[in-house]
Amino acid sequence: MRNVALVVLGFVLLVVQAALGHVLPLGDFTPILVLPLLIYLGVHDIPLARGAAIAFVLGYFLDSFSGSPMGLQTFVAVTLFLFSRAAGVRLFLQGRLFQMGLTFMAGLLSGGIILALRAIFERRYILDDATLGATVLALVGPAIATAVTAPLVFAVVRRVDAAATRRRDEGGEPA
Amino acid sequence: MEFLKRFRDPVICIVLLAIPFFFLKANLKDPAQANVFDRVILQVSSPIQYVATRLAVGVSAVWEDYVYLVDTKQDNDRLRSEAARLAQENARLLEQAAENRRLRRLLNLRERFSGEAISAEVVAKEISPFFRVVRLRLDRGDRQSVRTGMPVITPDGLVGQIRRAWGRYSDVLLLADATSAVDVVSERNGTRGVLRGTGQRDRYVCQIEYLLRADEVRVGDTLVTSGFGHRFPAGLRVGRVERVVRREFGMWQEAEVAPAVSFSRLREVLVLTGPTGTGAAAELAREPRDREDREP
Repeated sequence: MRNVALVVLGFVLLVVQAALGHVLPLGDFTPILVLPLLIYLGVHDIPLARGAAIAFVLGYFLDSFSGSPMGLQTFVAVTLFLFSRAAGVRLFLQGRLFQMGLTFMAGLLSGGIILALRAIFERRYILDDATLGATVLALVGPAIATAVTAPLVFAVVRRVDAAATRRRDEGGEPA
Repeated sequence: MEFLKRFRDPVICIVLLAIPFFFLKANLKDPAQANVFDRVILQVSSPIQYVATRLAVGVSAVWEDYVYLVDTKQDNDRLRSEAARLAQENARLLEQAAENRRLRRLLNLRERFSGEAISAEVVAKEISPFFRVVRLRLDRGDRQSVRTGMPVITPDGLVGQIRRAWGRYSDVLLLADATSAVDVVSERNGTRGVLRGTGQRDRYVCQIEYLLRADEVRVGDTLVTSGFGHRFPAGLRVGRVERVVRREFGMWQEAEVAPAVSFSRLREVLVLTGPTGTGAAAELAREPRDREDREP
């Protein structure tokens, strides 16, 4: 139940993200709303394999929604989950400022991984003076926007997760 | 078995990282350079990818349609409101334009008229059960020197005369009223008679009395005031002959006359308060009638 709730929440966040891009002229500053959810998965008591699977599914959804080459966002999502798990930054999620800072760093990391993968697999992708500005903006813009929205997303995720866990405990469902 | 249990999670994680990595590699590779392994991946991933993409496109389409419909509804409401406002504005401007035309005609009439006159607005109308105006009330009375018997005119012609005046108001005795009598002549040949109202409550009609049988009157003849008796200035348009009745014997004939003025549509009039000039009245009689202000 908890896993399904988190996947559904991720799906809803993706829909909201797609709608935001449609309704508001955010351009490069469109937040990646799933990113805080991936960090949350990484730092909470979700088994490693299950968390990675949820991250995989969410990344796959993100690939489908964003129109990026299949596998790109999936790889990034699983990597971010593992990164959060390895960093063990649970304590940092207590304050809003830390939430925003951590999300910003994760956003930069996400952008960095995407750039690296494209540089590896796309021969035509060239980073030079002409494309540098746009590339930096594409890297930093979503990271800033995601960091700004992170406290809200964390609050929603926490609430949904708490409700799902409570139902599981009441129903005697195994964790 | 123990080994598998111990490394299960790391293996799953590696597999979950490897799958998208190879998917990506196969997807981004030039198809000409794809090897067997890449082709197998593409073969396996394509149906899944198709389903996932269709699902995403479907959800996005539903959402976008919803957003679009919300926008459309807002646009619709805004445009409706705007259309209502413009319709109201249009009606107001049309009313102002009509009023402007009426007042301009009245002003022209007053400027051409050499005698003393004051303009007055119709403030009340007494309506018959057949929706015909039987009496008018004006916003000028004896405080503005309006007296009983003074002629009331419009650019179309004679309306009638003041029946009574008090304070700031006065009532008008219409030409079509049964107690009204005006000395008239035919504009065409000068045939003279007395025009009396019939007082019919379903239509505006007058009758010429004491019209000699030998006098030639035709349907369509225009009648104007004769000026005899000095009550009305000569040459004011009064009406048009609509029917002529000649009896088998006797020395008179009768004619039915439709008043020149449409009483139902009157808004502003002129009251002739001083001695009237016949020349000016004759000028008035020649003024072309404004068809737009006429009742159908």
